[in-house]
Amino acid sequence: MRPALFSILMLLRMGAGLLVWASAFVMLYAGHALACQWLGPLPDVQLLNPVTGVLAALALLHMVALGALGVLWWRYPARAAEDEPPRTHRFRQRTEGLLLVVSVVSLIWLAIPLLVTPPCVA
Amino acid sequence: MSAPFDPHTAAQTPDQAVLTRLFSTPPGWGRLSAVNHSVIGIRFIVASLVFFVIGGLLAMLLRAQLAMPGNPFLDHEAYNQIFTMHGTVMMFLFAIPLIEGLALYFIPKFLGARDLAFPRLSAFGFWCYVFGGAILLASLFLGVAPNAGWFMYTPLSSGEYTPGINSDIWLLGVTFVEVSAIAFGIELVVTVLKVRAAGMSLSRMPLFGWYILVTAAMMVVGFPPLILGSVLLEMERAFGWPFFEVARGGDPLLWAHLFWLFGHPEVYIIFLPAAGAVSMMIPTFARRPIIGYTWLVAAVIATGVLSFGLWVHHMFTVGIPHLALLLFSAASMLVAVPTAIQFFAWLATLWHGRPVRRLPMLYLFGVLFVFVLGGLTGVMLALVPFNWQAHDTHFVVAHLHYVLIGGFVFPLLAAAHYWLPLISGRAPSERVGQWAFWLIFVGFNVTFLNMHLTGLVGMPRRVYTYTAGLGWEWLNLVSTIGSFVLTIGFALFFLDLLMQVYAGRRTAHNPWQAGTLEWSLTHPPANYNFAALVPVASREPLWDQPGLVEDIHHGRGYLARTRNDWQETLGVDAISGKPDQIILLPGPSYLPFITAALLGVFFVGFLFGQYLLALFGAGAALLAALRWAWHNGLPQDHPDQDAGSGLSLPLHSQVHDAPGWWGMVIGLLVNGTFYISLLFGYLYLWAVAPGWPPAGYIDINLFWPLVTALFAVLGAWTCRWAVARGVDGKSPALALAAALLLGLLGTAGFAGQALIGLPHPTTHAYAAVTTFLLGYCGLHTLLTGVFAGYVLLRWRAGYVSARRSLELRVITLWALYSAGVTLISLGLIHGLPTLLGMAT
Repeated sequence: MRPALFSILMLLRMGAGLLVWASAFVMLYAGHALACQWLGPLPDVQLLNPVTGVLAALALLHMVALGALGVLWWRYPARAAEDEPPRTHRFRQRTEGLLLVVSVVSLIWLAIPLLVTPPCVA
Repeated sequence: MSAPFDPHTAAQTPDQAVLTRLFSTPPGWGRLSAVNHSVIGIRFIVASLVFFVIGGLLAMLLRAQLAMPGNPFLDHEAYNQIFTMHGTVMMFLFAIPLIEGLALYFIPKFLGARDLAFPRLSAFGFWCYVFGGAILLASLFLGVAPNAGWFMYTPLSSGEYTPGINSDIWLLGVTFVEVSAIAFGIELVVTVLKVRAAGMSLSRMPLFGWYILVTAAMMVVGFPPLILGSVLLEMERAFGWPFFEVARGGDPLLWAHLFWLFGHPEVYIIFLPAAGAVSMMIPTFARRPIIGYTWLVAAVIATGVLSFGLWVHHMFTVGIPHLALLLFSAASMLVAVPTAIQFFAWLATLWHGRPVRRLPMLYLFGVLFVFVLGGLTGVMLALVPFNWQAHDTHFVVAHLHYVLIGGFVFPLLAAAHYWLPLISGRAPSERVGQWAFWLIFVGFNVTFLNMHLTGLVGMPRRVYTYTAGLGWEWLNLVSTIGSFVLTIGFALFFLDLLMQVYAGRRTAHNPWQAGTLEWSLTHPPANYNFAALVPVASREPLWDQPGLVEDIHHGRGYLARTRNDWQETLGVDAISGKPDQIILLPGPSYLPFITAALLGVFFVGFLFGQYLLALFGAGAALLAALRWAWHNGLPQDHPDQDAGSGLSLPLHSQVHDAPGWWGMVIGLLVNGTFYISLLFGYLYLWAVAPGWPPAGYIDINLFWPLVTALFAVLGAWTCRWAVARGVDGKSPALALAAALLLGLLGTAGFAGQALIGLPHPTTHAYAAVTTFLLGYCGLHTLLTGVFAGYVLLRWRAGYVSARRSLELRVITLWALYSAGVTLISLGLIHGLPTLLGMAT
């Protein structure tokens, strides 16, 4: 692989967890906005409803993706670059792991309002 | 024990004399051609400080007006212009450019390089900033300054409610300045990744490098939404394309979304570099390496990403469903965590170190106190019920000043005292500096602490006067008194700096006994920075590699010998820091200045409705840019060059991952973010605006869209074909000529669809945004053709060969991007109505 592409992939891998979080954030916000735009206000809706269900499924899907990244991190650490000092390689591995933890916690934190608030109430 | 080596007392070697000549800036008018990063960095810093003084004086006028109820000092129009310009100047002409100046000046010195990856791009960015700032400033003196607030909400800023050129000046002036910010973003991402000392792997990079890498990446992604918003609003005002006008299918909230998509990350774009400076200073004064380097890097990256998920907390009162409010409220609280991690790392480093009490530490105490208070009120404002109460009151004004002054100004005041001995070669005055600190600290808190209360008792922001008896009188008077104390403090600070620069005693070498590379340089540094590019093996090389300063001075490192009058620096692998190329840096040139000036013709022409003049300016700027690019690269192949210490390396124009390739990748990221913002606008209006799209506007005829898409895809394919032939040593001429022709045909296809297939863009937002989308794709397809023709000419002139195929690969990236956006756009325009059953 070309060194430039390798570098880009390694940098992306370091922050992959946050990219999944960003995807989750966009999908939850956009999905919620579109659903409420389509269905209109739902003042009497219960906590268990199709909109919340779809959004929770989206959140779960992203959590699964983060889990997969966690397995990747644990079982298949990122390759070392040519002449990369071992300490730098460990640093990348640790940073990737830390950012995965941040992403998981952030996604759970984001999902809490989803599960306790009825959608489409303005 | 022998005395440490002092480069100031050592004689200059012959190679250093040649380096001084090669990296020098011509005198007189030749200064307009300066590209050296130290010169450009200092210019940015000085210009931004001038704007800071102007912004501060505007603030004094505001405080003088609010000192007492019913004050006739300013009328409402003057007040509106002054508060708008205060915010605009401080955010766009002071804070961001000061960061740019500091980074441009220091990053090569921190990273052990002689200059930035694209010195002329920085010079171009500086002139764009100066010209854009001049447009904004001139409007203030002519009494036509922007007056709709620094976030320019529509419809207040639209043609109906602001019919003069006030809003146009903001939209065009700020966009011009943002060109500079984008140039900075590309420059710094590529420099941090590719232009470092040998051995400086990612884990050995000074923390400021990480902070600037994340900040520059945030600018690359954060500024395009505002540029798009500004372009759309200016087109609405100039040509009547109704993107934000409800009556014709637009939505004013689209502006708010685009603005705050930029606006909230902007806070972190300002904060992070200042925090980076703190992370560089704390270890020096704690006399130990930073604790939690990896945690800090992770926290900075996390802050950078999470900060893009908060923008709606500026829009909590616009009527968004509760759940969406809670999503953004949660994200707003979340971002405090990585910020707090940075603070804890600093405190832990001080706790475990042996801190010394020096002047910069006093200002760092100011950071800890003021920014933490601002952060706490930020968490309060992230809570929706509180936000509804405090929205648009002076509480918010107090909060934002605590965040920005605590998180940006105080760190940079510390940084000024810390690094000025390096820049000026003079030692600071501790006593005057302490007086300045206490005046600033007390004045700031007297001004803004009670302003929280002013807001809580109900005083809205942006009112030019108030009546007596509301309980606001004494609060405002105290704030005004505090603001004058604050101003005296800043005046004393500037006086101290001037006294230091012009009359301070000579500083000792490395006066703080710091461990990072910049302190190995002479004070002030030579224009080429390092006489030899030494390999580094630690984060604090001056602490861990004895003899390093002497090695640098005596040329014991890479590229110590000069040849062919080339300005050389090392290019390294982005991850490992292993040297992989010699980068030849360009010398002084008037072309960045000329290109920026011609771009100024475009902006001024547009401002005054002289569209032919604007078109001329844009075309001439493009020609100047092509002329600028013409002399990049080499007209013949070169063998690998001796880099010193037994290492031979290829020149940058002969390797795959040259800075130019990286620059195009990051440039396309900017472009892609602009495009995604445009798609967001398109889909947002489709989802939110009533009656969208209007009946009869959708007419699916797939013949011409398919033909146009085919031209774009074939254009990308022919560029790839040109690369394949070029690297095989065969002629790419036929492939490039085909790409040129396909580019022109594709452009014609887009123009035809926009002109014939759509109603006039003034009739409805659907027609306007669809025409804009087609225009975007058409422009990209046209540029694919232009670039192909340009590279064809350069191939004929001998600048392209099998070894020097960089330009072929760079235009191929562009062509692939163009083809991609063409397919997505045409698929969206014609596929979405079909999908939703709206096609006729």
